[in-house]
Amino acid sequence: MLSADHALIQEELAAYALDSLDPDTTARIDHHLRQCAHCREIVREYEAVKDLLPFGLPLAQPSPGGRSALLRRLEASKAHRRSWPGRPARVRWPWFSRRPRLGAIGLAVTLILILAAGFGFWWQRPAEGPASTIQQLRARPDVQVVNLIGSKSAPSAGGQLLFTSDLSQAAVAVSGLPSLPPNRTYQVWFDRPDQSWASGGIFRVNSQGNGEVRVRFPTALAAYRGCWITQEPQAGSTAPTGPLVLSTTQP
Amino acid sequence: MYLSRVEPSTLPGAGELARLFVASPAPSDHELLQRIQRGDEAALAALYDRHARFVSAVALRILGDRELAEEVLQDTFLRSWHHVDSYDPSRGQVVAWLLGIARNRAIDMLRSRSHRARRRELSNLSDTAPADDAEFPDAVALREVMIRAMSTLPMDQRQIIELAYYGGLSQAEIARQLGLPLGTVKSRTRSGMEKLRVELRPYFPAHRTDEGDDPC
Repeated sequence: MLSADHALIQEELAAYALDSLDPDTTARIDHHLRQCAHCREIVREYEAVKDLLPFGLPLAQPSPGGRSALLRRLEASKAHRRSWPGRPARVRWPWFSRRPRLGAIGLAVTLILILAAGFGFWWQRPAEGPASTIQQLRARPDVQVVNLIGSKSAPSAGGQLLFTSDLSQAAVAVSGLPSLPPNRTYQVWFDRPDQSWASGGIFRVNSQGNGEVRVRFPTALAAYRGCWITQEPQAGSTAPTGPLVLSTTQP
Repeated sequence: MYLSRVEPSTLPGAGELARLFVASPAPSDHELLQRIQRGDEAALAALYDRHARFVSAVALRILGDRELAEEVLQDTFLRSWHHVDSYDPSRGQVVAWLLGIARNRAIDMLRSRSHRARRRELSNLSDTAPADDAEFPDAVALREVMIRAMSTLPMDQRQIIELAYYGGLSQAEIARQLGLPLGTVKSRTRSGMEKLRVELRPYFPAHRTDEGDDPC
């Protein structure tokens, strides 16, 4: 009953506007707000307060070269988006409708070892290292970034593919992915125009859902249509078999 | 009435400030966004020149690290370029939209780092750059409004609001960090935000009227 819940909901609206509630309470308030204009108006005003909070801060001078660096990154981003057509309009994802069979997993484990030698799963580790690859990459002036967006099976997930202009270093960083059981892992894929797949590496996420993996492009970046991340068996697969969780954004 | 009401504040310059970001000197922020939609890089540079100091301030306050704050600054304006269509004028001014992007990006970055580093950063939340805004009279005016409004809050309410906003902490996390009952954190959040809501109402953006609503 809406009115019975109303008073309790109102107690939480300020924290709701500050994005400071747990997901269950947030969902409960979302549901209430769809039906209650009065509370929507209160939230709107609390959110206006939230938007004004940072104006109380002392202004901070950006670095002298910040404007030029921004325009350089913009140019790099535009060039990259021209070379990456992004997510195809229609992509066949046969694994959405079926789970991998045990025999296929065994075959995948064998093949993945072969692929590992050819494509180099050269490194993997959980996130939050004191000097992570991601941080090193971000510090480089020639780094380029492609955003990854969560799929329907992981709508709150996000991530980035970062790489240097000479492709000598690349890594994927993710957040908001669910932790997996020991027999499962996440795997990075690059898809080619001929619909074949190249693995970029496997990784796991920590309890906060964050993870990163250093990846290597088997061939020139322009040979790929996009970057994808799926759930796979622990040792990885030779081609995607599990649910898609992240993929490159639309240009 | 379910929420307490207080007398309207006498904050200075309300009418003038309310127009601050609506009638900016030409070109307006909205005009810059329209040019960005057409792929005008000079418009992005102009938007950066106008608001980079605000964005830097938020990023620096959240992250406490100039290098990371610079990264958030760049990401924010790049995102404004690529996602310019997501700006909704009814939700507030362009600068508020940019600051929202910056806050989300900085908090994502904060959450992605180790818990230990995060604790260290949160303990140094007030370690921001010294003010250097003498050449930005509009910012100074709005800043005065906010400082005055925040000064009306008891320190315990202000602390909790800042931990939620700049620290990205949930109410439960704040309760654990401060060693307070969750109910106390919730009531202080509510009381503090309610005071600010009343104090700052003259500066809220104009809004649409909801239709088809059910009474609760």
